[in-house]
Amino acid sequence: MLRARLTLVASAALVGCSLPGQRADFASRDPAERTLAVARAAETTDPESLPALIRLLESDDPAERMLALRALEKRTGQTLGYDHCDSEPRRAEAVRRWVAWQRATNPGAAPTSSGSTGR
Amino acid sequence: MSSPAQNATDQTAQAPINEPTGPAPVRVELLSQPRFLSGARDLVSAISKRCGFDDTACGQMALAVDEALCNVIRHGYDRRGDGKIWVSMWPIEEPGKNPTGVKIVIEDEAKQVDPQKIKSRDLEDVRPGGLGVHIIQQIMNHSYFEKREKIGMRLVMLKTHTNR
Amino acid sequence: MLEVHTQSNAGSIVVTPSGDVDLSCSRELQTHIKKALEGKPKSLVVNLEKVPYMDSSGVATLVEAMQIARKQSTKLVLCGLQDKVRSIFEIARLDRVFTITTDVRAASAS
Repeated sequence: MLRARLTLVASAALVGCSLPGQRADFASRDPAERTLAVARAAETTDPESLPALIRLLESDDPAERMLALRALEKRTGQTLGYDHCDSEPRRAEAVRRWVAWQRATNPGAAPTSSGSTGR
Repeated sequence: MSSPAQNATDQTAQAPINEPTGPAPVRVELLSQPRFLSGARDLVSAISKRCGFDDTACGQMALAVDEALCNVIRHGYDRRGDGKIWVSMWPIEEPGKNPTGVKIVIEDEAKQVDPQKIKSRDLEDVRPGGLGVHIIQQIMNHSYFEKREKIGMRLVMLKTHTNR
Repeated sequence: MLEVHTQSNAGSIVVTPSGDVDLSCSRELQTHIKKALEGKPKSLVVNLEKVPYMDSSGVATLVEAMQIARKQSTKLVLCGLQDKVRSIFEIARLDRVFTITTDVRAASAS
């Protein structure tokens, strides 16, 4: 039983599925829940999660920015020149490109703020 | 066949490097098995030292070659252990003078890929290239992929002392 | 063959690989790290003081570990990076993504 549980944990970590009781929430104050939301978004084709990933490109946490970009790249095949380690102005410029891309490809999606999330 | 100019990456704007031609003074053949990577690294590091590079640069070139070999093993040969890979090295030098750099060529007999499609990506290990190509481009002054005549790919990497 | 030593202490785990981490053995490191994370420790320190060399397969293993650790609120710290290993993190622009300290003591205090 424990082995089956451990296997489930390992598999869940790899594919971004949640464990019972674990939330995946882009807007959560808990980095774990945000990370899980990013991992899930990387594995889906749901266009609604793209704006949330783009918002995370503005995170103060470079690891979070990197993971969000990986998810976006996996979903879209592109980075639009975004570098998680670039200066803030250059990142902001790249985020504007992502926002423009999102508007062009999915006009009906919820708008993405271009301000910092300040996490 | 794509020309080197079409898919080369130059990290610095400077006078072109005189690329040595002819038979390589150093050429080893290895099978596409990860356990031989350390031997290839040691070889590249030792030869690079003889070409006048300091320890840091030797280590970086060993890393670049390691990454190139990993890409061949993983993506060229799909992790088959019976593929052949050749590592060739030339000092870059003028007659009577000390070497100013080194040319390293990695060749294989694996599937051919359009060189235009090999590009660095952020930490993505699924398609050919990825972080390995980025590392190669960061370390070497000049690098390019080309298809070999009948089968396989060739990666040419050049590095000189004066630029890095 | 990569030697990996794992030590637990008050909810934290320290994983110490010894030797080059390249494509021939990065999976072994991955196995040890994933096993260490299974128990959801408070923190996981990967002590690289005995790793003179790492290539992108090793780096990818640590990125994966970071993703798993973040999802379960385990703090992941790397420590003891030798020059060559630090260099690949800088080239890969990951030196600011990971928490990196000089040694295990500093990692435990971070």
